[in-house]
Amino acid sequence: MALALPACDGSIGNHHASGSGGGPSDPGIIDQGGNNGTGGGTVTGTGGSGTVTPCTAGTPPATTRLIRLTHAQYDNTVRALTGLDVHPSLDFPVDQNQAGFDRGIDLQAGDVLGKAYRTSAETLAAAVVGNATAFSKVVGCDPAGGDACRDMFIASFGRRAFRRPLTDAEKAPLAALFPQGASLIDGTADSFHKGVQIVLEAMFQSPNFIYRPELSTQASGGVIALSGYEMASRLSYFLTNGPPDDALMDAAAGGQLATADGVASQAQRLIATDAAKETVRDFHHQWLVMDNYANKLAKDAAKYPTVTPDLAPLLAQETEKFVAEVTFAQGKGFTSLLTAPFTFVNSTTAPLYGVSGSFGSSLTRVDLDPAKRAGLFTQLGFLATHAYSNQSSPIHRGAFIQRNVLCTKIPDPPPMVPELPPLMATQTTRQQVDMHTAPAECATCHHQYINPVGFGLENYDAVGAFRTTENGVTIDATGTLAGTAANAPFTDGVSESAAIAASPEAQRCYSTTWMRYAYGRAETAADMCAIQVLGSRLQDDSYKITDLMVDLTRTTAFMYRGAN
Amino acid sequence: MKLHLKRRSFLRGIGGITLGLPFLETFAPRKAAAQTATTPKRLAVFFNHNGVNMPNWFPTTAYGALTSASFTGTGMEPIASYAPKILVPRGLHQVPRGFGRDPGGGDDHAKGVGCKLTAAPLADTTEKYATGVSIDQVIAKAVNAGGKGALNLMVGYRNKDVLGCISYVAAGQQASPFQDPWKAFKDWTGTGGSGTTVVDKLAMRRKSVIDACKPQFDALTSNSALSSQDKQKLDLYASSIRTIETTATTVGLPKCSLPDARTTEIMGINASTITRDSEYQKIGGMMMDVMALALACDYNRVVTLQWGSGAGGPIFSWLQPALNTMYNHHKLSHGSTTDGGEMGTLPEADWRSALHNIDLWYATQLKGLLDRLTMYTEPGGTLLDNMTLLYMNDLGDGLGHNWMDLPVMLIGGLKGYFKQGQYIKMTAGSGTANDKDAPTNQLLTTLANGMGVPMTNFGSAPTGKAGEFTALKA
Repeated sequence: MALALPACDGSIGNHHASGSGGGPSDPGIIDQGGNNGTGGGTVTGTGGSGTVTPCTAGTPPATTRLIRLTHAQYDNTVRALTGLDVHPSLDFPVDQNQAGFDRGIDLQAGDVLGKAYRTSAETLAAAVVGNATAFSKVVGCDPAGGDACRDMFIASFGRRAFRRPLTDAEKAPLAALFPQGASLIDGTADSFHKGVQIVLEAMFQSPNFIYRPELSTQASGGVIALSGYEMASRLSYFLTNGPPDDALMDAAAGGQLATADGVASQAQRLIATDAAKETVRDFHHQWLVMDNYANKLAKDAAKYPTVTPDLAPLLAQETEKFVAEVTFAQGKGFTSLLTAPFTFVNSTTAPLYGVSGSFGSSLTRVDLDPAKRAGLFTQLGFLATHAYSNQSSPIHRGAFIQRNVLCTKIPDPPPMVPELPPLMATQTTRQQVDMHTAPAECATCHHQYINPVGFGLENYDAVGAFRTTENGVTIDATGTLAGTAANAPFTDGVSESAAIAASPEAQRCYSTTWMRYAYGRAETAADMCAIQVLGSRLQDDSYKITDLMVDLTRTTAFMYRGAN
Repeated sequence: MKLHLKRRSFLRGIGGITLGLPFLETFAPRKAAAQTATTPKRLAVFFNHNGVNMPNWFPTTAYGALTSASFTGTGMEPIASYAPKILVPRGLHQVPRGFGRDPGGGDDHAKGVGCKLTAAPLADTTEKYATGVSIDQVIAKAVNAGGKGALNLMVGYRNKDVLGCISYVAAGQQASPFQDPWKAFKDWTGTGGSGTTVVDKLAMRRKSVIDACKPQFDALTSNSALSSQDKQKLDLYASSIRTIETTATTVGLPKCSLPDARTTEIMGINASTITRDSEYQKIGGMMMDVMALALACDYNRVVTLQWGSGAGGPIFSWLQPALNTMYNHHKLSHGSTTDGGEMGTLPEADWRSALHNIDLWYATQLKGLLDRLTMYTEPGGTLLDNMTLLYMNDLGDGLGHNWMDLPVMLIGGLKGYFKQGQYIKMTAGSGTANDKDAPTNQLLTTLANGMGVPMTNFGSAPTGKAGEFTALKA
């Protein structure tokens, strides 16, 4: 029974942005008028095949004003506030994804999480009060000062917890709660300590702690400008997954976050922190779905005795270290991510890469044969987890790259049961897959989009090791980058990786994917200008991922809210 | 000096007592459920993916009375001894209907997971979440003491999209299931009496804390810049921290605790590997313990158990034949393994045998669960008599992604609400692969009414039908 199949319509991001909104003129914003080619980044965006058609952003979508902390952000926040090495989110229910990542703006706190927040607040409060260092960090004054110290604690810690100064209406109930600690909390601590404890319980459950509200209604040119403190939180939670530090809070108070240049200058500072390195790691960990590596490493034990689910953490770490090396040590960008011929190996993975030498159990940097390996998609983690127990899977590899690296919209397969011609005994996977996907309903997407991209990686077997033959037949890894405008030809995984890196589709897709991560939502038509600008900047390999992150704070969508 | 708090410290709650003890109601809970002295009705859901081996899953005897012989040779043979408690409706089809039919996003795997308990279309976004609440949550909030939602449990890896969760607390908001049996269990199992003074004090303390936060909630709620969705978001959170766990007033039900040895075993699992295929059997067994106990001690009257994510695994490496050591359930359900399909070189008998063994394995787990449920005697018979367990699957025939002729069973009479020991054809015409006679939303309506939650038409699928499946009612 044949079903009508929607056509594979190629990549997103092909339309020219046609924004009419965009707020007041701010020369630091990259998606307004003639600012596209310039800006505060280190690159002028004129690499590769040329400049961007001038564009202006549309009005940002009217999104929620209550953005819940993610679990990672919650942990980082309580650690920063108390100095305690705690991980309360281990007990929180796992969040669902939005636009591909676990940091969506639509995250909520319902029954189970609300109770978990309450438990965490109570446990944290007790832990702070029971630890002299944490206590003095949180309270910040001498309890002998009595009510004066109580009020100083509420004001100063409250400001850090809510990421803005408290109003009198907020402070008064907390001051009234303080003395109730003595009667409501058991134990031998003095009444000041118990007062701090009960007030901390309240602060850690406050909606102003759990959420970062964006309440500004200060409209300008059809959009809404955030307040300084709101911008500080937006910035720090994007780049460092944590609360604004003192310098950022001061910048907010001083009105320095009202322009894109002011924001970007703080962004440049934050991007140099360890927390920002962790953000880069987290993005790639989620983008490449590393959480499920363990269940994709069931291999033929006779053929691949060293590749088991226990190898999953190491393969994830390898790719993460590779990304960090490219970004922070080499100062390189997207092209290197997809083409650099080096990686990190240990005694288990070195032989799989064909690298000789003696290695220990931890990862060591090695150069790879540039004729055989090139960046992320020729690494074992990606290749082995998109393969079967003893055979590669060009369809899984091709589909992943089309969907997540080129952002091609490929519809799901229809429920077909095609009649197939019988297969020959000695064939390559490529030959089998070609035949299997030959019926018209399958070929539309497979022969045109998915298969070619997957076939280019056929030199890498079920665990990602390099091979030149399969079943005695020489492997054919030639093809073209189907679905892209240039449809560039390639002869193997190395040249395919280079073609992908050089394609505007992949550049825009990587920008789009980072935008989804950064903004916690799917892109809309209003974001297309920014995506085009960022994509074009990625053509230059010296435009680092951290430059991209800074530029993501320079868009209309980041600097403003849609009016709703 | 950093104080390194171990994970387990958080699990014991303050004052050393395990939280979730029966608190006295010192102030009104968010939503009062009917407090009754009679034994409550309960609902369990046992949910599989990727379809079943249709040629030998349904009872082999004619429509009408079921005996244990009806299950001989079928994938459900392990539960044959429960024939007198089993009701099999044949010929149900999913609404919204499958790929290419009815509005909404998603292929048949996505719809299979997202639509079964919601009868709502899927959103056309990356994640394709269901656009409506699921029946387990609706029933739970109506019948549970304190109005709390269902207890949702899961075994195996959870996809972070529609494929990973069968239950929704609201449109687009999944009810994140417990994947760690210890977390599922710890909040409500008592470790022995703490005095009521301690408990009262805790409740009073929480009330004072909430009162101190209330002005902040009020300031936000009254802020005209906030949309109504944002206000609902806020109210949802406020409600959750205001809730005090209340006990149902029940008669003669056991305490919420497991034997110490089992508790220790559950507490000792490695949280970082719980979603691995290698842990599937063990975690599954623990989750069934949690499910049975939660129902028996009336911690929650609605408990769902989801085995894996849609279109996924595990690789059932502990089953025969060898195919089950190489390919995950999804691939086997398509009768093909590698991308090349191997059709023509892989005999159908082999992959159908693999699927059949998977069906048998799940039925064996279900048998263990049913045995446990019947261990608890209650007024009216056993726990199983006072509840019903819904067996459900994304699909019928996995190869064809068939959303019609779905494998569905109801086990347990729900206090006499359902017929028992019957195999009933629900379609009007001669076949059971039918796309209009018996939509799944009617099953959900029937379950709600059976649980004492009156309603006439659950779900927002345009092709659903109003009313219950009266043919199933006693």
